[in-house]
Amino acid sequence: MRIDFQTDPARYRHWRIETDGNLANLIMDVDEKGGLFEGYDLKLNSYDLGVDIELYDAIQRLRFEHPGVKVVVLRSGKERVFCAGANIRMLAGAAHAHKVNFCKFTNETRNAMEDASANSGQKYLCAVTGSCAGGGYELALATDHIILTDDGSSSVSLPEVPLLAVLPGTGGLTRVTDKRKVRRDRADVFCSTEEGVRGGKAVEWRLVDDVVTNSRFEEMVAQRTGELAAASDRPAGENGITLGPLARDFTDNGVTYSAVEVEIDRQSRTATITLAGPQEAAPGSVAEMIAKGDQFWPLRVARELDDAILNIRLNELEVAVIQFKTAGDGAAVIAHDEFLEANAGHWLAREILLNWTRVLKRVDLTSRSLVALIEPGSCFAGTLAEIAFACDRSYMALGAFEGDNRPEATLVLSAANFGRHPMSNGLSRLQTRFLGEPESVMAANTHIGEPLMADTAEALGLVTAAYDDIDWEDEVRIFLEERASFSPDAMTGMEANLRFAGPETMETKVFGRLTAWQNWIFQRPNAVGPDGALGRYGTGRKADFNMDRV
Amino acid sequence: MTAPIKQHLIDPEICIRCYTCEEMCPVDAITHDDMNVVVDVAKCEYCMACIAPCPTGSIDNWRMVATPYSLDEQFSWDELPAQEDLGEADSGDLMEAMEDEISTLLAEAHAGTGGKPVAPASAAKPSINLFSRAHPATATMQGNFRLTDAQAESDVRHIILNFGDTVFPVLEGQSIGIVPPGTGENGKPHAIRLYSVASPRGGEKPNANNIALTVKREPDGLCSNYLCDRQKGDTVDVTGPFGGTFLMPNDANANIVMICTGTGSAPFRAFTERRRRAMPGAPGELVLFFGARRPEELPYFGPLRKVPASLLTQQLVYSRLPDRRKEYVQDRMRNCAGDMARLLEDDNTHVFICGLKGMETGVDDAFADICEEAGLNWAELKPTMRSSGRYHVETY
Amino acid sequence: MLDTMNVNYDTSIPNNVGLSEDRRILKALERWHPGYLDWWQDMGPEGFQESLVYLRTAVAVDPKGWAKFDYVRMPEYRWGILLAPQEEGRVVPFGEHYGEPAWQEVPGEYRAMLRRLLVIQGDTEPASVEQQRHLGTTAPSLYDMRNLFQVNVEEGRHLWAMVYLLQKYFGSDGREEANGLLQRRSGDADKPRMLGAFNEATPDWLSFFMFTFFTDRDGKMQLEALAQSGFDPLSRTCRFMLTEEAHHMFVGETGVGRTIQRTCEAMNDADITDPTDVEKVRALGVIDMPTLQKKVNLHYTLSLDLFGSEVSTNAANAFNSGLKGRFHETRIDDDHRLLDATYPVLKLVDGKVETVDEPALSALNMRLRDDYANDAGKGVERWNKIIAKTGVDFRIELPHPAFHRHIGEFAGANATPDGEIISEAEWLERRDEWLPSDGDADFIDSLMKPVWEPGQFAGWIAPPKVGIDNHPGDFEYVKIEV
Repeated sequence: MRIDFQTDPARYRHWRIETDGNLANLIMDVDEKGGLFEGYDLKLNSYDLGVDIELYDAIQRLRFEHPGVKVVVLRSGKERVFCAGANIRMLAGAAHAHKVNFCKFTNETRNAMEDASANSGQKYLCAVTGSCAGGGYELALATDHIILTDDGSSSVSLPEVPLLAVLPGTGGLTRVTDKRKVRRDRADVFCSTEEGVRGGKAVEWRLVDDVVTNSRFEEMVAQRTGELAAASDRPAGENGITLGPLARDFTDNGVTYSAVEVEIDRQSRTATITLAGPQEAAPGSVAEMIAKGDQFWPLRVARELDDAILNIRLNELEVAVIQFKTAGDGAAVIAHDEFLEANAGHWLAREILLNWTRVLKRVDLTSRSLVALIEPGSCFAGTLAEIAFACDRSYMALGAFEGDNRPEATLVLSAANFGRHPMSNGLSRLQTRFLGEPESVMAANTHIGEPLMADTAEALGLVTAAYDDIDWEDEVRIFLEERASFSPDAMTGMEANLRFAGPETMETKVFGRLTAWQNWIFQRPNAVGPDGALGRYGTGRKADFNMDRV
Repeated sequence: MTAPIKQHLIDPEICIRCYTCEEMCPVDAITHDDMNVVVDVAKCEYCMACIAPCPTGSIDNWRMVATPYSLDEQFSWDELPAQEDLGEADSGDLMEAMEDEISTLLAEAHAGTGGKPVAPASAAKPSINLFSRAHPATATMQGNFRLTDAQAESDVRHIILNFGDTVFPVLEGQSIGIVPPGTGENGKPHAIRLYSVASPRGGEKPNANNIALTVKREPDGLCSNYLCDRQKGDTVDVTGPFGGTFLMPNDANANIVMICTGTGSAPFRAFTERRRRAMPGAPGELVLFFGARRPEELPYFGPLRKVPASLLTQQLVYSRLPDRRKEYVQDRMRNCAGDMARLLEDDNTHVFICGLKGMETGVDDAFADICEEAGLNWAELKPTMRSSGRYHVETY
Repeated sequence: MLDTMNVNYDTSIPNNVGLSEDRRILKALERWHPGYLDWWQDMGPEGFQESLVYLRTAVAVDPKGWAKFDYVRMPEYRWGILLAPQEEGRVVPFGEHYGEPAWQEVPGEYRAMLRRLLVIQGDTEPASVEQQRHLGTTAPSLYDMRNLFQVNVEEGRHLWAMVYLLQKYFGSDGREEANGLLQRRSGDADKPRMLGAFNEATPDWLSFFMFTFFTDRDGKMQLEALAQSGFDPLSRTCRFMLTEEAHHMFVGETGVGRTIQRTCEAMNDADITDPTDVEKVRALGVIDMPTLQKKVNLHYTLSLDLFGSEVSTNAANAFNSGLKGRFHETRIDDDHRLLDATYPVLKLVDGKVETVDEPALSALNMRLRDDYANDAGKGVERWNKIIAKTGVDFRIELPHPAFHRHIGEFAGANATPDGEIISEAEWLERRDEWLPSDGDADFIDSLMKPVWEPGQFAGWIAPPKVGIDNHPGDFEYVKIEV
């Protein structure tokens, strides 16, 4: 079964969006029988990937389709339970790779909520009624403000350790300490207490912002949403654009989108993603951009790339290497970059730019070997060049290739490469690349807008190597073969270590610790062995731990 | 034909099948199937442990039977069978006839009531027959004090028996049986003697799990001498509790007229203490007519002087005071005719008479005179009071 | 030596657990006590706090001593801590620790789970007092009023029982939870009781009888399961509570039974042979059979919901840990571990009701619910006997477990009382055929007129066959004006 990341509100089974002026209620009401796989019921508003795909879709749409929405209130559609977190039977039954990809995706979705608040003026408020446990509380932690009802039973908790012998998988520990700044000893008590904390103690311990009785609950929600809305710079009176379904065509060995092509060579375990540059000129006005809506090239190609990456992550587990290619006119790409840069204050341009930031981060966080092949006729310019900087290696064709009448390969830099799309570590990809030589960033900056030939690009340190047509084919083939032969685990670890040089941020901590600790624990018999906590969950039998500390 | 026996049965129409009785039965005599809860006559020892815990009252059913109902018969019932005709006198009488020697003793003591005694409507439900000659309770002598003056002819004692861990619940007005050890000349065990309890429910002091008796040493009395000779720490076999009608009304509005002589004062000491302890401000009056030969021979003479008049109106009457006319309780009653009539007209008034048989006639006549003077008819009033549980006699 | 049979009144709290020697817990309870009395004054039976009620009180926990009857003002009722006598050499009777000596202290690893079980059980006790607090004013007789109050004071004592365990064994958390039990309020939007059924109003006496028959029976089954616990103080507490709980079953079963009896007699007197001729029957001032059936449908299904999901991890954990067993665990002939056993569970599979074998360990809620249904079904059959005896042609039936459910496998499914799955539209159209309508409630309400003369009964209910404590029919069970 192929897991599909495309959906729309008419097809939601688990969420509802109800907008009301500058406010939207995002209501979680999980259909127990709507699990992505057989073998578990999504009880008590627990979620699996299918539920989170809808959440991701909803968050995207709230930004593009509802520019006037300043505050999103996250609510439960169920009585007496807010959200029980990720479904445990699903986790217990899922393959390790699925669990990891599931966790990664849910993290990216929660980061998108924080991104909306920090960069796009769309604030999130979590209105917790009922128990809010594990992933449910992590969802709440991703919002700007948490209000908990004081009904004597509603609580927030992270029961993963005492209940399941794993860690909260969606940034719970990091956000408790780094975002909410809960005292470490209280955090220790909180994270090892299955039933969590309720009432006034939850505020005192900084786990939530407000605790209020049921009868005053809506009043408090209204007050806080009012305050959050007042701090938002989202426009009034603007109509959104509609994110229509992607034009896609799946074949046995790939997918064809309007501007993205995915080809999978199962023999060599390589996926090739080719992005096509714009066919049309950049719009002359904001109105023209709005008129293009979801067909505006930068938005269209970003959505398609996002879908293509997610598809490979979840459905093409054996692909070892993704090679990125582009085709088209670099100047047209730069023209679009410049248009967006010039109108960055407009809500739609802003959303498109921020969406690119998120898609590029998604590329950074994809645990496959990434390589950019900058070939004749390609358009690695500005935003598309950023993809090359996201890769582990980049190879550039040097000079004209015999029998190839396409233009020689060039690389073009734009403002998109100098801080417009920071990585998780808060730095641009070039800053991260030249962490020890900031002058190289300055040097590259002087070449903005200039089509750089391979030798110049190599000299500037922007590509790994430049090969002429004599060497090109062999070098690339040997690289791909070698790469596919390494242990995939070692590759994942090595790449994740090397990609994120520089400072730690909350995001890097979340992902780094997920990769390191959670993946370790997820592999250990104490969690997933036949007598481990996940395996025994629901059987009533206690886990049998190996008590050695490692 | 074998002699009929009394069989314990459960009414299937009232029983709710909570099986509490089954849990309670110490000998597993109670069992159930999908239909009914039943009692195995072969196992039941009539210990009554199942009676109080039953929430419905269905447990408290009995039939005199020539052939006991089998378990299968009981399982099949939708309702209890009627009492079968055993070809003898009324089966109810028969059942009473089956009761042991105690019933006879009590029946004799209550004979002066002049009809079937009825417990006061507000009386608490007594526990009865918890301990028998076969399974007596063992009490320890906790105290043995002479109540009458050392110089006095009669030796009346206040005896306190402690039950330790044994639950022996009594209500004021009930009696217990004392089993003197050994056998008589005919080889039979000595007869059980009944003594009225002189302490209120809950013990001499609250929650002490003991009871007090008022015992007069009789010159040839086997049991009274046995008891009066016990020393602190000695053990005594006790049966009971007994008595389901001569009970203190629980109603705070009840007026209680208590007429006694000698050790007949025992239950009234219990009544008085009960009211003092449980409802000190009760609106109902307590009136005591207590006759003795002289103050030195009046049991509890000292303690009675400390009982406030607000709790108890005391009429202490002496028949052998030097330089004084003989006065008996009936004389004093006549002297108080006005108050007595007022009380008799009140539906809240209960009369209790306890003492020697010889006092019955005199007291009865006094009531008749008082009534006549007040325009009441004692011959009519007495049975009315009796049938509504307001007239009680216990004499010996 | 500690006297564990008789109730000790030396301290302000009657008990058989040696409170006078355990100053720490005595102090904690004494601190809780005023709050409890305040709660009782605020939330206990309204309007009768000064009346003398003929109640039974325990003076000992053995059969001879625990049912002593006397007039008491409810606020002066001797609430206390009463545990059934300790059994020598008792072992954990099920689960992973099967056969090990029963615990006298809480095992640390199960502390949180056990506390949760206690809090949930404890929360239901005051809740029902709150739900029933207005019923006294419409009592159909002093006898029934007394039974109501007996139920109420015993629910109060059950709260004490749970609070004792919380305070004795669960430290400061336990004390906090004990206070929480006094703070939540049935039906309160801000501080609701924990379980749904305990936030519904008990608006009339028929509802009260149905509640005590069906919902208190759930309580009984839960107590039965906890009475098996390897944690010995909990087991002993629940065993004693069960003897009190039997009275609640009695009130419910006979209350409904007497209502049925009266209806049938009135129909016979009026020569009405068609029990479904609702209008004619109602004109007699009695509750018609179809309405009684609807009330059964409602209260039975609300009570089934209290058993939780048929397949439950919590139930499995509680069993395996030795904390909560099965109904009559020690009488069941199996390995008492259930690691490999299965149990048939009713499920909704592709829109059809089917039986699916599930691991027995996780199907324990289903099993307890089956035992409950069996127990309740027998009571219903006794009602049917009452009807049959009068010659009226009607049978009361328990609805199918798929009908009108909000929790578990059938939550959200639309089913008829026969268990047939139907469309939402049909459900909405036919709902009032199966469940009490507003009109039904109004009619029942119209009959709820107080009858406070000793020996008199409201016209819709027959007198009981036997009085409480063997008292005659006209006994004044409640002295209202004191």
